[in-house]
Amino acid sequence: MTEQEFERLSALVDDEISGHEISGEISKLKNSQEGRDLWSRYHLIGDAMRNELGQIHDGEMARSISQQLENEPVVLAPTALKRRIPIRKRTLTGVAVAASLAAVAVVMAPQMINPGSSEAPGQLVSSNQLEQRNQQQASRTIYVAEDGTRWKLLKKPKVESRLNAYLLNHQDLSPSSNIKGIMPYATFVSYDENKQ
Amino acid sequence: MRSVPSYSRLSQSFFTLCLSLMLFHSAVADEELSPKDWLERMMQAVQNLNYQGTFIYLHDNQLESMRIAHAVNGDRVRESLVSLNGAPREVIRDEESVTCVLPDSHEVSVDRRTPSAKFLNILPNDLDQLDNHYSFQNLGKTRIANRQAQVVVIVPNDRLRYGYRFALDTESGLPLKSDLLNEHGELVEQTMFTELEIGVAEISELHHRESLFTYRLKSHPDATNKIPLLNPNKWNFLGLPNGFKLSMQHQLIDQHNADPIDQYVFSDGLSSLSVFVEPETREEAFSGVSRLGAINAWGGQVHGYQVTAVGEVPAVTILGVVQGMQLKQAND
Repeated sequence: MTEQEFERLSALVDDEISGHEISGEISKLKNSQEGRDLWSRYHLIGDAMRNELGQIHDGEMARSISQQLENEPVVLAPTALKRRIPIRKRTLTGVAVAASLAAVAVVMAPQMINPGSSEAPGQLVSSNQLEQRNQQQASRTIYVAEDGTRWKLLKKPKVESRLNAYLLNHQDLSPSSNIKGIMPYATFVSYDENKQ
Repeated sequence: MRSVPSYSRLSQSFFTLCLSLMLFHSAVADEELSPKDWLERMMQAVQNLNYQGTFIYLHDNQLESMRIAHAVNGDRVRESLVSLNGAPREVIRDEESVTCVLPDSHEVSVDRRTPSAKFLNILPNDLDQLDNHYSFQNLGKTRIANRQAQVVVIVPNDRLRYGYRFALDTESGLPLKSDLLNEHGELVEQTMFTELEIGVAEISELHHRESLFTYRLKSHPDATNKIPLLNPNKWNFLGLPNGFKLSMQHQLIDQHNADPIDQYVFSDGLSSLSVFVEPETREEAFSGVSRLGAINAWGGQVHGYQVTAVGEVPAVTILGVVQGMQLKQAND
């Protein structure tokens, strides 16, 4: 920026510029990142001098707000929503996967699960059961006990403890455990209301 | 119209610039860190600092609070996690073992951590290898537990893995808040510190040992203290979900069962799942799908073996791995 531009910006901040020049200066600001940065700094300095700074002041607030506006939708609805991944067809050799696909629907819609329902433990959930559950969900007017730390759809302690042991072994080797330290173990430490 | 001599304006501008440089020195230093720099800082902080604090843990619409402590003493690292709600439960971990105490049912303990656990440590350079499957962004600043924090997100490029959002303490790099987002961009798990002390860590001995039965799965090192590959040619994993590779395989010993268990770990460098294979002899085997917080699991029979897959990945990813399992007849 030239010396004259610094001067005009400073005048704009101090409201020492004539009315008909303001829109011209503002549109210059729109096109200059440097100008906008300087603009926010001038304001900060002015605030500091007038002792008007809040307790928490973030100098990059304007930038972070605009960045958040830009980025937020991406985070809340990852790009995956735009790119549908075609499900690759595979030959299901010996794997009892087909039956469990119905059950995947349950996993995909976890909020639809009524934890109080009493289907046979450890069994695959058929689509019929899923419909029944959905109906229960629709007609339910009372709150049910929360599911706690129990594995969903499992009501067999031995199977559950084995699954816990597997999960522990897995967590120990998981890269995300390295990122988050012992935090992933919160799953185990978690309190189970149903068992009280 | 203004007709102020430019000299005074110039000196004022110079003054303001100097002042702003002083004021913003620290902010600029933070801003210069890339998202990956922040994540590296976080990993270093999580592993190397002494800290303790209380955090809340939200999953499946359930809210809890827990106490965490991380103590580093020379080469020794000891960490603990204790529930503050309901029946006290805790996990204590050091370099050698992980012990979980679930007093209302039983104790689950892994006696020895596998020597190769370090194998999967994400080193700073390795963050670049994640670029094919994730993008990294800084998302401005926030304040958590009365501390300033930088928000960094790891956004997956497809629906085969979860996304992460961290709010990192600008002073220490510790994650003050961690959010896990599923393949639909929905929050599945959140942790957030409400109070954090850095530089202090007190870890008590295990409580609540009475009337517990211990369940152990040990890895089985050979004479050279390396984990043997069990039947390395036994299984083919065909058509793995995009980006996932076999990271390691080893054998586990179950003290209640003579038959060893094979564990195969698949990872894209950040997200991972394990497939456990054992002979189909157990009376009560896990069959179907299940979920615990952000963890998905699948169990079933494959070619006469009991297979269980667990991981912090979407269910489709787990199914994608087990669907591709094929027994190699020739080398059997």
